[in-house]
Amino acid sequence: MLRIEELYASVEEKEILKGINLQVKAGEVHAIMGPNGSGKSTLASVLAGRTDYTVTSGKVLFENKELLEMSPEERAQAGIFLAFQYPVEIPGVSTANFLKTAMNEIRKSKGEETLDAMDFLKLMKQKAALLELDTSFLQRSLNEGFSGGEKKKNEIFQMAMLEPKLAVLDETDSGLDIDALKIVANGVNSLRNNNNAFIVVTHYQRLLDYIIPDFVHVLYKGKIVRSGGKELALELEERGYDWIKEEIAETV
Amino acid sequence: MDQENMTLLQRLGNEYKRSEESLNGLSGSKFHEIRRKAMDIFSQTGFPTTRHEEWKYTNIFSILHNGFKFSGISSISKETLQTLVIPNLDCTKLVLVNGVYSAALSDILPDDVTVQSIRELFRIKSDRVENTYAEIADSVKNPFVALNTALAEDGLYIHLKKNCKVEKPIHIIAISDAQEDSVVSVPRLFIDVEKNAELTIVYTSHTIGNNSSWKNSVLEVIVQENASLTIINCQTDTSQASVIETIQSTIAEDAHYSLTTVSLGCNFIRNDANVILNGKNSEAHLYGLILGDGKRLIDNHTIVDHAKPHCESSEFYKYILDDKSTGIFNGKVFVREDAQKTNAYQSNKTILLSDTATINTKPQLEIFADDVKCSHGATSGQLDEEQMFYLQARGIGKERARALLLHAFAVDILKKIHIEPIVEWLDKDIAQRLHDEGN
Ligand SMILES: Nc1ncnc2c1ncn2[C@@H]1O[C@H](COP(=O)(O)OP(=O)(O)OP(=O)(O)O)[C@@H](O)[C@H]1O
Ligand SMILES: [Mg+2]
Repeated sequence: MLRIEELYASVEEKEILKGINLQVKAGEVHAIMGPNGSGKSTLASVLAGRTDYTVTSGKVLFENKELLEMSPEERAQAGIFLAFQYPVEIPGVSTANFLKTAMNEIRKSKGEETLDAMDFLKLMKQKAALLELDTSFLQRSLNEGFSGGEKKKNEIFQMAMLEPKLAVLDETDSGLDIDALKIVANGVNSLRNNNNAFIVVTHYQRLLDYIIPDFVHVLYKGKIVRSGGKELALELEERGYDWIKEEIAETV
Repeated sequence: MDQENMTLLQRLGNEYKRSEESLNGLSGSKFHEIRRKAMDIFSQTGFPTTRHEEWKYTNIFSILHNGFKFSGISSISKETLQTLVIPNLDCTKLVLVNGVYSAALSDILPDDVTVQSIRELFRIKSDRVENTYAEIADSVKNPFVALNTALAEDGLYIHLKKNCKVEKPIHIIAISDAQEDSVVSVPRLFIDVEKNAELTIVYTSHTIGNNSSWKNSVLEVIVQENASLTIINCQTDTSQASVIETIQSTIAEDAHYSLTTVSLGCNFIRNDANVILNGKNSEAHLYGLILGDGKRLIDNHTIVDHAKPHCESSEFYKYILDDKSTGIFNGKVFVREDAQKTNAYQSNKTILLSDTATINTKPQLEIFADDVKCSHGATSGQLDEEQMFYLQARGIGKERARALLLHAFAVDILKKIHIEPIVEWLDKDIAQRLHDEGN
């Protein structure tokens, strides 16, 4: 589904991603861990198409299409979804209206019929229930005055509505209380199937107890320095990153 | 001298003389005297140049030309009127065509409201009109008030008796008929709301036809003790239209006044919205929403004069400017020595969609009392890039995302209008102008 080859990206002349290679197949869940500032959000932003980042070399194929040549909206329409680490507030745009616009724009891009108001409302209620969200937030301005946890839940709610092929969750677990974490994990699990894939960026092994990954990668200084199964996350939880840093220092 | 060689000023003078002759039977009246005085003032001052502080960014000479006709009477069909009304708005319509009241096109009024000809009231020597007409809107202070006062052969006196609460808004539809010629009109209204009464006025300005129009409106407003008046003012004329509008209001004790101006059309707009809070515990709120594109110029000048203590005022003007459009906001607030415990707030926010659009903002607070709360703020900038990216990352194309954010910016002001059909009508117009036709 997704193939990243030798990806280099920089921001304001500063190189942040230094040769990322990653392959994600349909049905898989990949976890990306790594110390602060290692480039995890940068990778997520580059995949979503944020223009502040300049890709200096490398290639990203999404379903055999050149992802890097697509605009952010084209990527979303093609089925990429980024759950933001810091979702923005948009006063004056209700969550419901925003989502309806997004859904219909995506549908239109595929030549599908737009949803009518009734069907849309039904779908929203159903997905809100999945995340145990009170529907009153749908009429409120998007993320405005939402608590940190509510914003994260709202991201997953949007994901549930849009049903993307590839979802990148950037630290969706940070700021969630234990109950909310379970709800969000359940939400993700219920959306998992053989046709979609997830990249889950997290600092905590706990999330991976609920969303069980097929692969765990460690991103450090702009590179994936280690990949493994879910045991790798447990090992990191126990030992921290120092041993990996030391091993890298030795090989250089 | 033939028409061609006369200057616009000379033609205005001639127009005044012609109109004076037509006012037979009124020659010795107060009306005649007021008009003559106004004409004298205008003759002396002439049109303001950009050297004038209040007209610094607004070059009136850009819209003045010699092709204007002072065609008073014109008749338009009911079908044409139908294209201008606000869908689903339950209201009483009063129609002015080129500034002249059209009984045939207007609705029957509800019992509590009377609408009378100002000229007729002068003829029968009504005290109210003789004592107050052209007193609130002062010709000395504004040359366009002087011009309107000199040239208006009539006007509407809208009167609401005390204790009457009129539910249905009165919708005044001011049409410039520019189908045959370029046209000048001078609509004149006098709105008098007595004690404890409540009224909503919707004033919409339209131009039909492809020629240019110049509408110089004056609304004089009195809101008496504990009364409430809401004015919703919509400027949706064609891009050949120029609008100069003065709304001068005086608000008595415990009274409430709000004026929301939405400027979507016209090539040139100058609004003077002036309020005197003339009794304690009174309130005035001025709101504005302005959309500018092309080379349009939209100038809002406001004066809120706190003359008495314990009054509250707020001003909230939002501009969205694209292309080479120009916005001007000049907000004066006076707090007089007596006006202790004043609460005055002013804000002007602008989104500039192009590098060539400009906004000139000037807040002016002159405070002579010591126990007051006054604040003002002005911001201008582009659309928020983080918000744009968020919307795009959800599959919403650039154009649509832009329209959503602009609408979100504008919605604050639309929310001040509590009449749903008007909001829907404006919303639709705004969406079209922002190229956001909905999904
Ligand atoms: N717009 C920017 N301007 C300057 N530096 C930036 C910008 N965006 C990111 N960086 C830098 O790039 C590096 C990688 O940042 P990134 O946000 O990708 O890290 P991260 O792995 O997501 O960290 P965290 O775990 O703290 O979220 C950091 O050093 C950061 O300061
Ligand atoms: Mg990050």
